[in-house]
Amino acid sequence: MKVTAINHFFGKVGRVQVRFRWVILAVFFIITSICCSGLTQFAFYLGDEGWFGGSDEITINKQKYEEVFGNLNGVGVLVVKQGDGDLFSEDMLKMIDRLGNRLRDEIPFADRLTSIIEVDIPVGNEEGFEVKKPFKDGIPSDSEGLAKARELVMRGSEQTNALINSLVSDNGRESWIMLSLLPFEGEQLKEKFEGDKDEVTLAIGYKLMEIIESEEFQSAEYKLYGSGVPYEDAKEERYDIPEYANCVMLGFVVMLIFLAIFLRNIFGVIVPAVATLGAIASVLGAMSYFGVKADSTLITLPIVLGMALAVGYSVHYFNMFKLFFRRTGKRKESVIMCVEECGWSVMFTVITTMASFVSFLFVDMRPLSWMGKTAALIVLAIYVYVSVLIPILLSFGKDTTPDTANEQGATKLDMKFSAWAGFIQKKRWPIIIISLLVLAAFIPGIFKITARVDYDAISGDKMPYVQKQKEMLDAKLGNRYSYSVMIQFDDEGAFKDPKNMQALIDFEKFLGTLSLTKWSGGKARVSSITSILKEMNSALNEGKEEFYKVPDDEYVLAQLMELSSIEMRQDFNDFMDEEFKITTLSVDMSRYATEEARDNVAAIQAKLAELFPKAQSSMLGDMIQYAEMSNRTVFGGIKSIGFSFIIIAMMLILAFASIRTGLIGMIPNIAPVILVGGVMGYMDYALDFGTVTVMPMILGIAVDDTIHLTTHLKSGLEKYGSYSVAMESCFREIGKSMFLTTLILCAMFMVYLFSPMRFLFIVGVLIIIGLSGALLADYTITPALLHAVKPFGKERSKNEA
Amino acid sequence: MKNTSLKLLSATLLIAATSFAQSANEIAKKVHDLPNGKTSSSTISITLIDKNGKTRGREIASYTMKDGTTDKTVLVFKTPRDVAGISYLSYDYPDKADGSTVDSDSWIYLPAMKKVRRVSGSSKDDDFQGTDFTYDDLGNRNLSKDNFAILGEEKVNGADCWILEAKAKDSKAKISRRVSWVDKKTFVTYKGEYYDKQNRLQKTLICENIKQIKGYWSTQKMTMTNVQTNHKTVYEVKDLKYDEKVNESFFTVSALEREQIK
Repeated sequence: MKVTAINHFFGKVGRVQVRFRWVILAVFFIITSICCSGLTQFAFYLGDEGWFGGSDEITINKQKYEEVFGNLNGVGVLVVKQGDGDLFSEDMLKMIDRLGNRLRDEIPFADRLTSIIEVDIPVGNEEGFEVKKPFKDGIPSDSEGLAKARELVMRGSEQTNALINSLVSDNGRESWIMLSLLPFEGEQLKEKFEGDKDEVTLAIGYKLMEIIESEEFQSAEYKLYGSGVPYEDAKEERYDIPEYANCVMLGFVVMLIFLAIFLRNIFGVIVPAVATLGAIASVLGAMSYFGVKADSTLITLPIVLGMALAVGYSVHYFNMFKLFFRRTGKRKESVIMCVEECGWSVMFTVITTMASFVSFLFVDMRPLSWMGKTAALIVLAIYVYVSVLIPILLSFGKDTTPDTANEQGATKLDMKFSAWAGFIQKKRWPIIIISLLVLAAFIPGIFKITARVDYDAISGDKMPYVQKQKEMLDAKLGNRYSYSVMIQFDDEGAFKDPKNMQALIDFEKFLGTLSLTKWSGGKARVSSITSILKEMNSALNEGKEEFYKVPDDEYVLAQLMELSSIEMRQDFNDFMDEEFKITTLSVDMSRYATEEARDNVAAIQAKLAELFPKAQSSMLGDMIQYAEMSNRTVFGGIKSIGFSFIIIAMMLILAFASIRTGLIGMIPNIAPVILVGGVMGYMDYALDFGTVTVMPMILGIAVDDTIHLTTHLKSGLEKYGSYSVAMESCFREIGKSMFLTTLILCAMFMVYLFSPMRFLFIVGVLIIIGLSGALLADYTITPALLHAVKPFGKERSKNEA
Repeated sequence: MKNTSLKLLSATLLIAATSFAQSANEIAKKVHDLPNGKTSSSTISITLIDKNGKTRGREIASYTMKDGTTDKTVLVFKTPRDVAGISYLSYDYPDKADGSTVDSDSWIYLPAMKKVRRVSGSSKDDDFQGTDFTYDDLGNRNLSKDNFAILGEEKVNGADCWILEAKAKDSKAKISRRVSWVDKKTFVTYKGEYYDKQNRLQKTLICENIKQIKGYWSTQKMTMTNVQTNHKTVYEVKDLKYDEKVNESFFTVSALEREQIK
């Protein structure tokens, strides 16, 4: 590829830029304004919803579930008594009543409330049965009345009372207040939320927060813990997004500092800063305009990277301009020469960086494909804004007298880099061997990498709400994650068949044996239709404990199910459809652990196939979602690394017009990837949706220096005919700038090290390690390999030179 | 002078408001007191329609009689097969003078268990037989439980109707507000809207096939739609007969046990 011809083309571009600068500025202003207007529609995907597209099996299963059983999500508050006593005192019960009423009255799309105050208890006696409400006549103030109500709620044991260790703990000190939600549809959705279901989720979460944090419910007597997807999403927006904003702000300050240090004039700080902001705002605005929602957890990556690259590109353009301006003193000509010199080399690095992000588009995960798309567009926009605006703005001003004294000449540091190149060439084999050994030591670490994508693992312990979360998990009834299993037969009335019902009972027992299932006291937290049937059966049989079971006679079972569906329709329909052919079980989890979750999911699927060979079954909720997310993170990571490797290798091959040189150029770029992989494995930095982006990103950025190095070496070789001389010249010319660009990038990503969000901290650490590793490779193994392999042919003799 | 005008204006408004309230209460009372015979028998057909349009039907034989101030009802499920024979007997008593309700006596018979069980504790705002109707929606809700107002007038299916609002006095009531379109001539309800505690529309009622049978205005088809869950119940009354002799022994626990009522 003839560089001179390409440079000539960029020279023409520079001329056009200078000639039509006012028109170009006006066009940029208009385009930027239009794009930025889209920012008014900017919105985030929150929680895990954004992970799965509309055609995804998980989304389809969720839709199926919601068609039959209504809204999958609800909200809840766990009340935990502090100090002495339990929840069955007048004050505590009144508080639970007030809190429940506020939830039901104030939360949008509120449906049914369940608490120890609002619960129907079927009680059998000799005559028949009675559906009792423990506080039908209000909350008693006398101890006798309170004791009576307590006795009714806490009657029997956890084995014969569905409420114990489910709604209320066996010691009476903990209890859930649960609110089911209506489907997010209808007039309310249109009128109050403009049809945006995510807005509903957030409004519900914020309202729950507002209620439990209100003055009315602050007391040393009890603690309240919110729960449910809407609550988690609101927490994410309230606590995490400001953290992301802090990262971006800090990154912007670092960017200004670096611009000030390197360019040392106010113009050199303001222009790139404005260009960067304009580019980033335009991309995000245009995407919002087209209805693309941003991913909250990954939003900082493309922005911080964009700012880092903007500094690099700007410094490149400014320094090149300064060089020519010093030489010629003619401003406009210097601008044109600057564009001619920088245009292609900067553009090529832009293309390789973009290519690494484009690789995420092939990954079947919405946040990552969003990040890849956005980062690629931001990198492109940064390039366009910097390469168009900076030369134009530099063209304004007066000419000056040429400064020939400073025209050339290397600094002491440049000479040290040159000497280093000489040293590397002498010791090339030991360096290659040591490098390979070091890399080999990191390879086993790669195989230790695990995936952890659950919210708590990525948030880390430093976030303010995590301690509260832990307290809740330590409580007897507290739980953070849950999942549901839906079993569907084709034939109406399938679950009236005692065989299928027995299979359901066996399956329920099996779920209790799984390692991640939460147990409260001696009861596994598995809910299904069987508890309603047991309660009804016992109630119809004088309340005898021996009848607290599902009847096995077909006629009795069928009639009991029909009766339950009539008498307790709403509770019944939470678990069974109206045709008695689809049922669901819900399971609370004690914690989340990736490997265990995958094993649990596999065991559940095997058991379902064994017990219900003729039924279709699907899993929904946290466990399957996180297990699927970790699978996709692992495979997505491998895919995106693979894709970016192939794309970048192809580009190197094209750029150097040689397969051999292209592939050799890839070797030093794999080194930082191995380094990062090893560190992740040894340090137990798991793959998540942040860390999975690091390796392809490092590959895309690291390759820039390799291109610079190889290109300079090639032109040096053409000039001097000797690899040694060319390499020394090359290091003298670009050794320092390679260091500086890596320093800028590392400093920008260093802002992540101050983040309390664990995954951002880890991303920061890994990027810094990766970029430093890439620089180290370019200072060691790259020149050593280039010298050893001599990819540009043989050296010319001194005479030839 | 100014003072006198103000007093006059206030008095006029007060009279207007009072007469308006009185007329709303009167309408509500007339709706409540619509006569419906000493005895009745019918077949009730209930169709449950879920949000996906799937339907599920039940047929119930219904017998009622007035025994003094007590309303006695027997319901016997005829279909589907698994519920056939499940029977309910209930005695409903008039409210006390202070407006408070008296718990009804109810029994259920399950043929699979061959047992009659006494059922108590269910409330009038509970679902009627697992439908979108509550016992209150189908029965006569006590007038003392609500404050009435007339919201306006409108024609429904060619009939001039009052738009009557009933606001529950109990702040904890599941349905906070009922709006009914009441025919000015017959005081029969033509349609209704039910609002939940957050004053969101929860259910709509459409009444059809309204006829006079033996001089009693009777609604033979009612469709209640829960607009929040998109679940619907169609309640149809067939073979409705009034004031015909019914076997009084039907309204006893032993009749349930002997599976005497068909």
